[in-house]
Amino acid sequence: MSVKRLSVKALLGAAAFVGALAGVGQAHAAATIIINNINAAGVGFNDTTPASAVGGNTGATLGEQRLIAFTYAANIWGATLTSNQPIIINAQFSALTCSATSGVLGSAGATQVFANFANAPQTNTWYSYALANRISGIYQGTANTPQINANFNVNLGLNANCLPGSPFYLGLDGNHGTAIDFVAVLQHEMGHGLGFQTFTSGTTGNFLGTAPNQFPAIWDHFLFGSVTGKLWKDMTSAERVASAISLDKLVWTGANVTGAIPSVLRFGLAGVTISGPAAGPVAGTYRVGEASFGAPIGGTPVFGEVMPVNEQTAGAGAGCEPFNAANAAAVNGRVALIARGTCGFAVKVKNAQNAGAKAVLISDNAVENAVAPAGLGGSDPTITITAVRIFLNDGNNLREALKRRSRTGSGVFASIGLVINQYAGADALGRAQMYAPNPFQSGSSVSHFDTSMSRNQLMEPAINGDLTQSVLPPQDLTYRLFQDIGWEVAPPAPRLTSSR
Amino acid sequence: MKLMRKTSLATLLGVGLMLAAASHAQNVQVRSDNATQARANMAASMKAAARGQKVGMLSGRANPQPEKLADGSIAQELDASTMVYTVARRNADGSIEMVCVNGTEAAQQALKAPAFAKRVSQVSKEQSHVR
Repeated sequence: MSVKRLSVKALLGAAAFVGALAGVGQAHAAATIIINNINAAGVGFNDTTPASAVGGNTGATLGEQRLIAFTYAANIWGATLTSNQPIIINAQFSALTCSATSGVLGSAGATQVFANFANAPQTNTWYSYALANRISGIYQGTANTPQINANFNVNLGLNANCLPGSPFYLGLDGNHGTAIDFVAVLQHEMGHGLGFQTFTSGTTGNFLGTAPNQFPAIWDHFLFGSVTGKLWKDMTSAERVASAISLDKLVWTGANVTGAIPSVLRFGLAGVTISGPAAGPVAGTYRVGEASFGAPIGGTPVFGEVMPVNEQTAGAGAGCEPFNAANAAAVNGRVALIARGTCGFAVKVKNAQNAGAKAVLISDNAVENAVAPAGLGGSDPTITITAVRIFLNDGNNLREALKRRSRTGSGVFASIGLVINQYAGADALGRAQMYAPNPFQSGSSVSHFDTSMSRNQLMEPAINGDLTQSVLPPQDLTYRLFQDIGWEVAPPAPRLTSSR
Repeated sequence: MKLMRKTSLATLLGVGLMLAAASHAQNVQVRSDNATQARANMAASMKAAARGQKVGMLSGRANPQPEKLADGSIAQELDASTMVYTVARRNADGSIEMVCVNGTEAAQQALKAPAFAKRVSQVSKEQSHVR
């Protein structure tokens, strides 16, 4: 065995930061994670390019900083999980698919799954390698075999052909700015490797393996389709395929996650209520997509008369230019209705704010097959008003009602707030919703929490900028799901013999 | 955190004291075991997955099958098609959005997709459509 060398400075920096992990992990949790650095000399974790300290990462070289960040992320899991068997991760940096505008950041996954091992809570059910070791208390298969493989892009942000200007941020403090937070990516990928996934195909519905050893994953014992009223393990393959694209009809039934939802997710779904003497048939309450900028939707609704914003220069896009006198007079002190397109959401909202609007409704320009509209991305810290997205069809109906308006009034009013008494990201029965978009999105479904969750969760299919590094309530539901699938079971006494 | 190095005893003692202060969080070791073989097997599995073929991530064997072990348990070696990939793209305004997908094929599709997700979270800084 060779041992990775790190500078004293790097060690001291890492030691300072692990102290912060005490508040991240479980009170008496302990699992040893072994990072098996499989990079060749001078590459990846062994890159000797000098580096300056960043965000608490004091590694003296690029390779050291990568390893310290990896260690930091692993330590969060190690401080949270309990296992009497080490969790071994094969890790490396290598050249992955990349271009100037897109790229694979990394990949990770379990190397093996096991069924019918000692103490398995469910028979004929696949468990990820690390989880099987944890439940059985025995190193399954050949001792010291890596349980997770992890691979990250060695070129990211470092040359013109791989997202130049957007390297991994190797700091430990989450202040990644426009760079990509390596710790957050690692936490997410390790989560999958530790068991946050099904091994059943969402595209074919087939269980992993071959007869007579073709089994559901432990995941499928908790994944419930409310259309059929069945767990995934009990569905036919066709039913699972349909369930994987059932939008808000796929939920998690584990008691630990369900019990933690009130402490993690916001109570109340964002919506807009349309009313007023000229509202006509459009009067009613609609779901909205919330913005990543401006004032968040809270307990006090934003109320105002709705007025549309017209495109000023042909082709310039509605709301994309500073408002002329007509648009400014229309929206001043009111709620602006602006069509999506041509320029960024934040540009439109900022122009409306500058003209005195108190809120903005962005009407979509494409049909979206979803339960609620997507959010509004972008950022501008100077925006202070609330903005939301509404469906294309709702926007069209609203414009129809606004046709009888004057230049400064419409008789149609909007109230934007939390309008539906349900946890954001849970169904009406308080069960966590899992990601099941339609059409099926290339495997990003089912093994993630739904994107409707608020607050954002580590194991949503996208990695959000506001994650906290905690995997526990009140910030996060991930560890509670791990408890559901078996990480909570008291481990048996250590046994060091191999079963193979 | 167990970060091991070859150095003087005095240095080790000093570092040990620092790490002892955070002993409750010492959960990580770093090694470099069988690196050449592990690297080769991982590369072979990922290349095979890109061609739609299955090669075991650990053994390098083609089309790994479930295997019954001596204690009655059953093991199934996985191939790179079951790995989870994180993909990033830069939008027209310079913002970066990321998404997590299962498998090599899905990652390639995500790299070409006009948008990553139909539904996005409310306070996302990276993932949402921005225009």
